Amino acid sequence: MKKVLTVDDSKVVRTMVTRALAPYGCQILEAANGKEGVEVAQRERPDLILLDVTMPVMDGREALIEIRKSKDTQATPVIMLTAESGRDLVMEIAKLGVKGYIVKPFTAETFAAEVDKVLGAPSGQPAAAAAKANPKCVLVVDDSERVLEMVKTTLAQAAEVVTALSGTDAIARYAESKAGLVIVDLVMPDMDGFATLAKLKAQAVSGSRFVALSVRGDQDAKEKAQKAGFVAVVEKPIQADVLLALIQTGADGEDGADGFVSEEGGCPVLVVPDAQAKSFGRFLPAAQKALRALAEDGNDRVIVDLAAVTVVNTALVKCVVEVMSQAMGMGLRTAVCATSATVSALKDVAETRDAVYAESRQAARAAVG
Amino acid sequence: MTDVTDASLDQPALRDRVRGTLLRLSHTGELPALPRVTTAALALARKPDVDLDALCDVIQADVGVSARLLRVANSPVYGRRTPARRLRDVLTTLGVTTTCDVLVAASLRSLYQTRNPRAQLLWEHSLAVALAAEEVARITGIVRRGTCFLPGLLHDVGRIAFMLTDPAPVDVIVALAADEHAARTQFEDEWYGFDHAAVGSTLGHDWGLPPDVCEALRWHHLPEMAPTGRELASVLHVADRMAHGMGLGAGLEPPPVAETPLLTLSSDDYAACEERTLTAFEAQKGLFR
Repeated sequence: MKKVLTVDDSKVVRTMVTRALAPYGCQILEAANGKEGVEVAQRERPDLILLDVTMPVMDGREALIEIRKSKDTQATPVIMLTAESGRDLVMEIAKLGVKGYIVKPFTAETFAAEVDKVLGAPSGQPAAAAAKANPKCVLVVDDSERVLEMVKTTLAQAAEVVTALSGTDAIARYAESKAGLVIVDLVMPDMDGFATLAKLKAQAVSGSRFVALSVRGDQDAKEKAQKAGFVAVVEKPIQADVLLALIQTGADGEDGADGFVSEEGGCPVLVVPDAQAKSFGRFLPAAQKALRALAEDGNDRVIVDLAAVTVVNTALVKCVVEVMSQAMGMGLRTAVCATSATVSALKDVAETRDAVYAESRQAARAAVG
Repeated sequence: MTDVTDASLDQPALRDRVRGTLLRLSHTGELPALPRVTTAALALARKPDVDLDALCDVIQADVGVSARLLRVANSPVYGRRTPARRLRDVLTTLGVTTTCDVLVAASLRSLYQTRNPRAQLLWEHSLAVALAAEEVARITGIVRRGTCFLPGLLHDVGRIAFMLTDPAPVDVIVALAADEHAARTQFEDEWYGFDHAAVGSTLGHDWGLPPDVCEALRWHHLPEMAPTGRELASVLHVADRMAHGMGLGAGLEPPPVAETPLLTLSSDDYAACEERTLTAFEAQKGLFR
């Protein structure tokens, strides 16, 4: 059985780490500061050490130096745990040799993305790589045959339409079709739209967009649907042009996370659109989804491409900070590629000064390793 | 570990950190929100000369919220002789403040309707604190009556935000606090870098609540540290303890601090508040379904 040592002065963090490690079926050792951590590491020779940066008695940096000094532990993989405010410090510590770092608080997914690199994916779990959605296919779920027929007729020219009369039915149809656009009625007997969405999302198809069908004027249902993860709400009675616009949106990649992602020499690239003076309100949630999908697919780096950006303003700075922090939080090494004018403008701003910049995708590719 | 209970910490910076962390953890990529209708109505209601027609128009834009408001206003709690048929009737009989209280309660309810059983207990606790806070205000006169229901209802909204974002750490924090008889806020600080009170005041700010209400949400566990609005924070603090004492503490241990030095009730007054709160709670607990 593999051994993992968690070193953190917070019992909450050690407990959360223990819970997150449960699927790996390993033996878990705990230490409350760096000194204890070094001692346990030398005695127990763990297969992985999860090391907090800020601790009393002996901090993570000193502990890592000690761990690397000892012959018994010099090759032990170490993943650093850091608070969001400690990212800079962790980058410095990383030079001492770490496998990666996890920003606290973490979700089970971001934790697994780092730990899998050392321990491998837990046995009995499906592979992290998700199946790709079929962008040409639309799945419509409604308990009314009339609605299904109407959608089918309207979209017949534009897409391949699959229909389902219930949530249960939809689960099977979705597994077969991997529809890129799924339209779900919120009110259905047995399994409602929200429960259906949860089941469909659990199938881990990457790139599908989910749209809710709701009765006109039910503002509350709209809000709830958006919170649940539907990208849009279409009101009943359905207008044909609204449906067609949905398909068009998907084709343009306006809302879909996939539309922003490209690739450079095997490294994923997140393309930031030129929002000019406007905010990046629509882009950021999609970017977050895209980054999460990349991390879940086992990527450990990403290039953020600002080549299209023409205006450097507060909105852009906020956008870059947000994207960088999202990417780092998911354990993705990041380099920003932009024109020299954009780079120098961003370097003038405190929040974005320390990012890794390159003036071409190739150079950025080299920078992220 | 950053000490976020430090009153000198820049509020906008703290709010940014709260939003950033919760968004990063959230599976939906969104923070908990009140319906737009509700925040718009609250903004209108705060104006010195409230335009009732405009307020009606705003609320009526949302069929679901209006229907719920009518249903609540027609419940026996509000003792109308003839049922209200129009929103305007509701506003006339309940008054603007109570209408807004009911509106927020009805809108907020959906946030607590998750599969997590803790959420239901937390809703009942929040309602109990809202009612107790009104009673404490009535008996002490320390803050104006009618101004405590909303802050009371929202005092733990940060907790529901934590549950909605990721329920796993909430279970761990509750279990550790019970095991070690320590404050949950301390463990929240260790995990998130801030506590539920900071989340509550951030959401309150984002939803357009008045600054004194946001401050009270922020300091309801430590009223003496509140830079402004200490009275309201103290009322919430006492009401929170009271709800715990009545067995309406969301199944959690009461906060470890016994009482705030800023507000002490005689045992008779305390008992009277408890009794009236319990009666009101029994009458209203089924109101917001």
